Amino acid sequence: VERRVSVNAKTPVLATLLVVVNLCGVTRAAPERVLVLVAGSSSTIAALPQPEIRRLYLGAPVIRDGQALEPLRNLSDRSLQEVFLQRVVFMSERAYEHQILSKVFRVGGKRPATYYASEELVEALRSSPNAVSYMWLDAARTDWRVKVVAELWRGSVE
Amino acid sequence: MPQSLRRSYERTTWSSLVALALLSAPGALLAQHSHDAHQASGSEILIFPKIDLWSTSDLDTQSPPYERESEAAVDLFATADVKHVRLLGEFFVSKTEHELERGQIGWQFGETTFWFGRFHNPIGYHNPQFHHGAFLQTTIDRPGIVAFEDDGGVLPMHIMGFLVEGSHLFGHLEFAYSFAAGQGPELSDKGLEPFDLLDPSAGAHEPAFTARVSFRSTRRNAPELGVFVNRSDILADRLDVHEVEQQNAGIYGVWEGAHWRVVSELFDVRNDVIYPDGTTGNGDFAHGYAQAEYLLTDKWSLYSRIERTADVDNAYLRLMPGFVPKRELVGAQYRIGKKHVLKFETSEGHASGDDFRTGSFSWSAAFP
Repeated sequence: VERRVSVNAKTPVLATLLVVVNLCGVTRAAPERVLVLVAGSSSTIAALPQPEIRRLYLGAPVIRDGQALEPLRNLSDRSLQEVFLQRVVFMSERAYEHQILSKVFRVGGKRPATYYASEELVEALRSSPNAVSYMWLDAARTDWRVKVVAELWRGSVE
Repeated sequence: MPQSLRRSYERTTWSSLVALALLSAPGALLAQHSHDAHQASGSEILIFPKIDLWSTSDLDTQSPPYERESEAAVDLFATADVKHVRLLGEFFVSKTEHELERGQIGWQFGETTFWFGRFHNPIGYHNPQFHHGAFLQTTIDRPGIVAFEDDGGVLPMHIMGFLVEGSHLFGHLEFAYSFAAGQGPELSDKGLEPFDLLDPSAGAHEPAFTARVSFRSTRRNAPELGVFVNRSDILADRLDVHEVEQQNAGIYGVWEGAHWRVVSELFDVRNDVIYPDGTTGNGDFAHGYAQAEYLLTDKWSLYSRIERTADVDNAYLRLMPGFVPKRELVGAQYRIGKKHVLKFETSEGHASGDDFRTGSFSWSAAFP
């Protein structure tokens, strides 16, 4: 009996601890991030549906106003690249590299150009009105040289 | 210099010149458009080297390996876009052959490309998808039904003429199409011989037509399904046959998940073999294969394929002793970085009345 009373006495303490741990967990959870498709600020590209974006990055020609869109890969951020491939293209990086190589070998054309530095990517977007790429929304909002064309995904990144 | 040696020498020289031209054309285009970074990157040069080692033993006699062979080969590929014009060339070189596999010039009109030249016949899934890109295909051996013409192939794998191909998206459904019309292969004592871009006057090549359509949802892990038909009139340059009228139709499917993939194709092949005396022989048969692949880890994957042919004993396949109508195959693939692949494969097959077992090893790569 003594033992049961002792446990009961500790219950509020345990509950308080649990609440504190939970709160810590909440505060430490990754913030929500938004992945967006972007183009140069002077570009006239309007919103693109996600299936078209997927096709574009898999090497199919996507035409807008008589011009073929040019996909650019943003490799400046590892998690950004992973989220884009997993949530938009539905492929692992290995499978994607294989797929675009196979596509070029089959029908010609070129693989999407890759950019490891954000500054170079933004300059490429600015200089080519038919180019599109992807970045986090917070980065796109703070750079006047790009405009958001479509939201691709929203969630927390582990 | 003997006539045959001279012809071979001329052909090699001509081939080398064409290969050099193919590789330097995109470079020239790069220089021409160097003022524009985006235009400048409108070309690609790819190099696919490979080394295959294999040994074959006869299962009927249980003899030790009677054939150990190796082949080193390089497939050179170049493509360039200049506004709406697209150039594409592929040159294959090995110890035993050198061939201008593809030489195409195309006009891009929206989502459709109109090609002229020698191209891979869009018959089924495997042939246009992989062809000589050993690095790109999972297995070392191609399925028997899509074997190259000079390797026991029974269907035209190349056509010289016109090709229209493209794709269009309807909501979440992608519709892809290919229509080809041109000159198909000739049938000689060595088997089928496609139109040779480096020796255009060689052989007599009759019309060949192929149509292929496929559908695929853009949703995650959606299958791809396709149907195709082909018609080829194949003139024979041999004493026992005058001509073969070939018609075939088939379906294919590709199903894939996060760690696995299954590819299957079915062919219904109808051949009328016309003999010099005007009589006709029936060469109809059906062939199917299924290939399963499983991604074990990031580097290792396992695969297996089974191939079967119905009605093997017919007038057409009797002319094709190199054709492998039946085979079971298992293998493993190991990736080294992004550019190298090692493959280990063992198979049991049947050809020309013999059962045989083959063990193969292959290194292949893609640069850059």
